[in-house]
Amino acid sequence: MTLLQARGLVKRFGTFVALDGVDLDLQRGERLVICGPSGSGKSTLIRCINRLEQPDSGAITIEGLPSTNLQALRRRVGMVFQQFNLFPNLTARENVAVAPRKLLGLSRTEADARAETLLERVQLAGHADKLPSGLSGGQQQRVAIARALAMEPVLMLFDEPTSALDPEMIREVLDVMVELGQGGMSMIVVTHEMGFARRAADRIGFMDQGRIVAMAPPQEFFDAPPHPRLVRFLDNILGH
Amino acid sequence: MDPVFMAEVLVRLLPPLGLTILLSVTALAIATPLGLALGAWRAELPDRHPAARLIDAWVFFVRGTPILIQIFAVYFILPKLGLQPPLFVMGVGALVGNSAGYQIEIGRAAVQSVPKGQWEAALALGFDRRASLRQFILPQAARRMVGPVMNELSQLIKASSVLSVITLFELHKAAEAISSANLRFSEVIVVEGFLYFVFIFGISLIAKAVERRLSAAGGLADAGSFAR
Ligand SMILES: Nc1ncnc2c1ncn2[C@@H]1O[C@H](COP(=O)(O)OP(=O)(O)OP(=O)(O)O)[C@@H](O)[C@H]1O
Ligand SMILES: [Mg+2]
Repeated sequence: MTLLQARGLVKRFGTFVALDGVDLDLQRGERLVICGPSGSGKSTLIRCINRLEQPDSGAITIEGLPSTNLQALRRRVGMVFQQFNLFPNLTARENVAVAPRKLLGLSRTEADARAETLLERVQLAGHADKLPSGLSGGQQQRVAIARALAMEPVLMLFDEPTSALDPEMIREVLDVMVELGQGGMSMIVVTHEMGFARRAADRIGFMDQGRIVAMAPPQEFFDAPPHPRLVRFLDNILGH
Repeated sequence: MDPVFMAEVLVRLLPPLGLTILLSVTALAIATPLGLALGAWRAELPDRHPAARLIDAWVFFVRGTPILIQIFAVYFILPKLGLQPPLFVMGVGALVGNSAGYQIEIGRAAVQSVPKGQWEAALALGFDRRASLRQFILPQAARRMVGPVMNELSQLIKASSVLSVITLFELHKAAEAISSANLRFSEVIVVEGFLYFVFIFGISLIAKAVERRLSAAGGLADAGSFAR
């Protein structure tokens, strides 16, 4: 069943065309990885999906419904940022609990319980009372994942969630994401972690100059790259 | 220097010091919330918005003219408009106009200094702009305002001395009167300066204590989002 359908997305910044007519379908429970060179429009694409950017034209439906109400849309779509963007003045628990409490009307006890459960799920039981500044980058990013999950989204968006992390912390974040996908979460992940893509993706898309120019299941994507520029891109990042 | 005369001056300057305190504290109590709130609002307005232009003009005027001119403006222009408020009200009004002008800038800069990622995190969770501002941005901005606002407090108290020009019998006016009546300037100046210093120092101690309590309690953040 189709969860997300995007048709003809166009986004310009001034005269620069960042998205040049993107079509995208995502099935429920599907895990899509998107990669591509810097500036190809990956961030712009996922930011258009939760309308942090307003596309200039094109249509997006989620669960068959167009997103007329911004807030309602964003409550159903979780987002994880490259720079974590945790609220620095709130503890890990408060970071996770604040949205369900203020937006879904959960009581403090209910919201805190939900936060504890989610922090446990991202392997951070025992860190609930720490401020973000007291957590490592990998831990902060896992809190950010828990925070997004706290709204019980139908879709999770990740924009290069491990690019700001030291190598030894990348794994712990990716493990959480793999598990999330195995649990049936629909997700779109912008990343250059090709090991993760191979392990966890149902399909991998390759963007270039504002278009998705190739889209294939991992095996085909790596073994028989369906686009010449993708071949070059893979050579570069896989260090061949 | 004549200690006996200075002691006498000190006693005579206490009532006018009271007026200086009353003027300053009243003006503070109005200018700080007004200026910071307008500044935070301004940060969210597009530059072309009529309210934004009005606020910018206010700040531009306050920053671009001496306080003396601003006080005379209130003193001479209000009556021309058919308004004749008591001197005290004019004095407070001039101080508020001046100080709020600076505090608008403090509020605006503080809100704008919160990283864009904080907005995006809040919006992506499903908060609207208003709720994002109130819940996440303002508490962080408030911390960045504390230092500059404390600095502005002492500026405002010092500025109140210029109200002597509209014959408000506050500390500086009283000191002038005493020194010219006795033709003894240095002693009076020393006592007057001492009183201003004690007042400003006292206010800064209070402000520091407030600041400490805010950060000890986990910050203004909690006052904003979790205390209630
Ligand atoms: N707010 C903006 N204003 C102007 N140009 C922008 C803006 N956001 C993105 N762009 C431009 O749009 C293009 C696509 O940007 P985008 O961030 O989507 O790329 P990306 O594929 O995510 O790249 P990266 O791998 O570097 O994150 C880039 O050339 C970028 O400079
Ligand atoms: Mg990007």
